Amino acid sequence: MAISQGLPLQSDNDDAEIVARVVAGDTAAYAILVGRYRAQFTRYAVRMLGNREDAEEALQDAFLRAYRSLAKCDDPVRFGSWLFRILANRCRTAGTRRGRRERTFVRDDVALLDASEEHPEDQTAWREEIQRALLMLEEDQREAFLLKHVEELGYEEIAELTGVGVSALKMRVKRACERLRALLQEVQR
Amino acid sequence: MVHDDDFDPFIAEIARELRAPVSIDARFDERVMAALEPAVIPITVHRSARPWYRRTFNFSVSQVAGLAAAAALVGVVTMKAAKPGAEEAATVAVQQDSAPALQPVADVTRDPSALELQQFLLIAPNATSVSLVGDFSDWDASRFKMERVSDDGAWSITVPLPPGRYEYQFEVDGKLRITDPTRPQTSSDFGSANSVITVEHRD
Repeated sequence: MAISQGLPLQSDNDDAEIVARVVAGDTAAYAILVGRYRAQFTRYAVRMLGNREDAEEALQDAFLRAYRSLAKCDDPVRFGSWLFRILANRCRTAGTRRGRRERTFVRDDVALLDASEEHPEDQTAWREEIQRALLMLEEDQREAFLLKHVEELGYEEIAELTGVGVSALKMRVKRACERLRALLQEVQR
Repeated sequence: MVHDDDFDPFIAEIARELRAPVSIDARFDERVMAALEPAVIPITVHRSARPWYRRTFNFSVSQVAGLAAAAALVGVVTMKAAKPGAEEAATVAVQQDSAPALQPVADVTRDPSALELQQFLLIAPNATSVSLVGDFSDWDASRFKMERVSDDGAWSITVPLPPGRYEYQFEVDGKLRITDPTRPQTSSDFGSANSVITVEHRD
């Protein structure tokens, strides 16, 4: 698998060593894995779910589920990929739950998401519009778009992570791009 | 045919905006690690400590028979239990120095139809209470309260079970249910699985 520039999903012998330590009872070593994957997985979860509260909940849930199932991690050098699959499932579950309670997108959430210190007013507004448009996509299209264009994974990698065929993924990304373009070019006008 | 290598400056701009880092609660790592504390740790790594292995487990067989009406168990240690209904107490000593560590020294086999005594162990140093829940107890946490048996946080319970396959979890502090990584688990839906144990007759 090609080394990704986005999500750190490549094989990692260091991960395997830490997994072995945790499984052997060194619970504290798990903090290394949490620190290693927190930032980029947070970004994915926030973009998928649209607000930090749900994203943190999904991410924490993913870390805990991974920990409890660590003995089932058959390929610990691929811990990152395994953890991401758990997170992706949690995001789907959270998205379904949110859909059921018809939660509306809270405008202020987006502003809270930005870690950068300063943003011009118009750039913040533009980023809000992008996030809003993203949340209007079908969930599977949003997932495919984020993995392809934001996390910059290759289609083969995405297929491996999601279990969806490359052709179907390309179609999802294509439709996501078309929909985003339609939604956001409307805003720009 | 869909091409994935078409560069679209508009989409690239959107993606660039979405790649901006996002903040997270500064105490996120701390929260995750705190939630791990009552975790299941494979007991094999604690064999050198194993103070509870020295314990002598006393089973009143009449009590065992009462428990058995509703229960069945699986676990780390299986011992032969006396036939249900017998009135004498059986004492089973678990030897510390024999290998493997969790082997009963004295087998109290009395009848081929006997229940099997199954010991369940959990390392949860920070837990204040641990219960064993499973399909053998209708997942009722009040049925099998585990006993803290060592200073390093080992919790134990031994339950008589008829031979069979059982699913179970540990309930920690009355809220968190966790599986046992030392045992096989059901389903592949991470986190929702139960631990599985198969109790067999031992000759």
